[in-house]
Amino acid sequence: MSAPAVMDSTAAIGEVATTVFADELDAGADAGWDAATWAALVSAGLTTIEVPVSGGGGGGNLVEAAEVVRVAGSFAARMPVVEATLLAPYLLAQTGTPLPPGVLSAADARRTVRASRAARGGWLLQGTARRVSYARFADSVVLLAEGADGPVGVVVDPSATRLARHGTLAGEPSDDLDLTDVAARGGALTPETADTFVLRAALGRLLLGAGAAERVLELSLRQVSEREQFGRAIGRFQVVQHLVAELAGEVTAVNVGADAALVAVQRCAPAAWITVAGAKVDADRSLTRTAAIAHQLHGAIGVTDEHALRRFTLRLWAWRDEAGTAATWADALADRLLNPTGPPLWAQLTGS
Amino acid sequence: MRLRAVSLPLEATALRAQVRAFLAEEVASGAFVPSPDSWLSGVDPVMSRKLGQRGWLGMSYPAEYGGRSASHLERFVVTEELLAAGAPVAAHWVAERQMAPSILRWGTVEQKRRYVLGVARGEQFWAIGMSEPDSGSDLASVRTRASRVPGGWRVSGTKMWTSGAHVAHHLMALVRTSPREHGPRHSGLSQLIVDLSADGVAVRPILSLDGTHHFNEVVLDDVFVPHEDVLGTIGEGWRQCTSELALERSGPERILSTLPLLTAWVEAVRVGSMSGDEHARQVLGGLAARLVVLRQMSLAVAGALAAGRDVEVEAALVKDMGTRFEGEVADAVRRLVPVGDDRDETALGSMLATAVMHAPGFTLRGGTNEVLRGVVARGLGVR
Repeated sequence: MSAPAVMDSTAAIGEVATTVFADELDAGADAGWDAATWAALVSAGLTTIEVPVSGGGGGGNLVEAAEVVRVAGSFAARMPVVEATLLAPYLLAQTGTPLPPGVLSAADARRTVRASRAARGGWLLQGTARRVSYARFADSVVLLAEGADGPVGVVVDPSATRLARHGTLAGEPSDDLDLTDVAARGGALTPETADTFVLRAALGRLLLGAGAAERVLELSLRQVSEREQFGRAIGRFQVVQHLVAELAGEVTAVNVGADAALVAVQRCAPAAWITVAGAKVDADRSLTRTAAIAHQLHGAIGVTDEHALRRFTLRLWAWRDEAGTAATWADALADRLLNPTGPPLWAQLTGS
Repeated sequence: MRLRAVSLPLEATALRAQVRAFLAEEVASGAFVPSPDSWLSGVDPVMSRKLGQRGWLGMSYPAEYGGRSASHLERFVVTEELLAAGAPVAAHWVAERQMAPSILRWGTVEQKRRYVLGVARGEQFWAIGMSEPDSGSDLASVRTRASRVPGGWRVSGTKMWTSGAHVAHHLMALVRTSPREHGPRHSGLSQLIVDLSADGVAVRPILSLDGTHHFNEVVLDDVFVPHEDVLGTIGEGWRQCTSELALERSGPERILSTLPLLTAWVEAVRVGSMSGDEHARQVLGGLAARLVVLRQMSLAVAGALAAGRDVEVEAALVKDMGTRFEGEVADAVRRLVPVGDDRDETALGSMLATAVMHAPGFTLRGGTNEVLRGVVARGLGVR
C-alpha cells in the first residue's frame, strides 16, 4: 500500500516547508507580500509539487502539495499559496496550457467574467474578476470563466488589466481585475473540472485555517503558562484549563476535518463532496470559537497590534468566509440531504 | 497530540453493507423500532444473539474466543451502523466493548475460556461495577470492600447507576482490597468478577426521569467471589480500570446517540413543507457539518487505537465535543418540531421526546465532560 510512503514524503515536505518559513519569514514586515519567502519556497521546489516531472515539477500528489499550504497557514504567510499550488497548476493542466513562470494566482470568476472564442484563436474576456488573491503581485492569474458552452480556464497578465486594489479583513491583497476586451490563452473545461476547482479552493482555505489554528493553540498554551496573576500562572485555574481543553477540541476538529476532506478529494471518494462541504461549514464554527477563546486567554495584550496573536486570528476571521461562506456551503449541504430522490443522510455521510 | 484522519479499509465497505441490509430487514419485519440512545436503553437478548451468530460481536477477539482478530476499524464500521439504525444493542454492549477485551488483556486462560466466547456469541451480558452512591467522578473513593477468606473473597458494598444489571450475568466490580494508608489514593483497588446470581446479590431498579429502566442499584452483601474470579492482579485495579475506561470513552456511541432522531427529522423535512425553509436548511447544514467532522474524529481515534497508540486525551476530547453535539441535535430539532401531545403517535415525535429526556445523561456518562476537560488539560501540560 502506498499510503505509508506518502505519509513519509508528506512529513518530509512539511519539515522543509517549516524550515523555509521559519528561516525566511519576516514577522516584522506586515503589509504587502513576502517575496523573499516565496523565492525560497520556489527554490525548495515546494510550489510545483503537483506539476508532473516532465513539466519541471515535483511529480507529487495533492496530499503532499497540501502540506505546504497547511504550514503556510501556521506561519500566517503573506502569499497566494493556495492559488499558486493547488488551483492554478490544476486548472492549466486540465486545459493543456503550460504553466507560466513566476507568481500565480487564481479565482473562480464564472459569475462575473464571460469568455468567448476569439476569431483568430484564444479567448476574449468580458467582465470583472472579483477579489483575486494577491493579484497585484502576481505575474499571471488563472481564471475560471463562463463560456458559451460551459466553463473555460484562461490565463491573464494582471499588469495588462485595470486593477482595483482591495484587501481582506486580514489585510491580504484581494484585487478586482477589469477584463473588458482582454485577450487570453486557455481552454474549455468540463463541469466536473469546475466542481473540483471549487472543492480545491475550499480545501485550500480549510488547510490554511487548520495550520493557523494550531499556531493559535500553541500561542495560547504558552500564554497560560507564562502569564501570572494572583500569584500563579493563569493556567493553574480550572476555568482556564477548561477553556484550553475546549480550544484544543476545536483546533483538533478543524485539523481532522481538513485532513479528511483532503484525503477524500485525493481518492475521489464517493463522500468527497460531503466531506469537504461538512468540513468547510464546521470550520466556521471551529475557527470562530478558536479565535474567541484565544483572545479570552490572552487578555488585553492579545487584542493589540503588537502581539503576534492577531496575525492569526485576523486570518481565521477572513479565511472562514473565503472560498464560499459557511451559509452558502450549509445551504448546498442541505440541498443534497433534502433531495427527495437522493440517498438518505447516513448513506451520504458514509459514501455508500 | 495530533489526530490524523483515517481511511477505512476496503473490506469495511462490504461489511457495512451486510450489517446495514440485515438491520433494514429487521426493521421491515418489525423486530425493532429505531430509537435514539438504544445502545443504553434498548435491551434485546434476541438481537444480541443474532448479531453474535453473524459474527459481528467480538470481531477483534482472537479466533479461539469467538473473534477473528479484526481491526478496530472494522469494529468501528459495525458499531456505527448499529447506532445509526437505532438498534437495541444494550444487553451486550458493555460486555463486548470493554469487559471481554479487559479479560483478554488481564485475565487468565481459564477466565478467557469461561467468559469471552459467551460475549462474542451475544449470550453473556455484563454490567459495569464502578460507580457508587458516594463515588461518581471520584472513582478512586469507592468503598465496596473485599476481604480475603479461604478460597476467595467476601465482597460487601453498593454499586449504583449500574446500567443493565437487571439482565446481566456478571458484574465487573471495582473494590477496595487493602486500606489506602500509603501511596496514592487509587492504590489498593482490585477488579473482581461477581456472578449476579450469587447469594447476597440484590439488584434494585432505578427508574430514569422518563420512567424507563436501565439503571440499577446493586447491593452486595457478603458475596463470595472465588479466587479464580479475580481479574488480573490484586491491588492493580486502578491501572486495569483506566485502560478499560479508554475503551469506554473512545467509541462512536459518544457522538451518534441522537443520529436516529436526526435521520428521522431529515426524512420528515424532505417530504414536508419545511425543505425550502432557509432557517431549517441552515440548521440542518450546521448539524450535518459537525457530524461529518465528529465522525472523522471518532474514526481517527479508532485508527490511533488500531495503530497501538495511547488515545486517552484524544478520546476525552472527542467525547466532550461529541456528547455536546448529541444534545444539540435534540435541541435543534425540538426548536423546529416542538415535543407535542402527539408524541406517542409519530415516530419522530416519540424519538424527539426520548432524546430530550435522555439528553442530560449524554454529558454525564462515561466520564462527565468537566472531568474529561481536566484530562485534556493535563495531556496538554496545562494541569
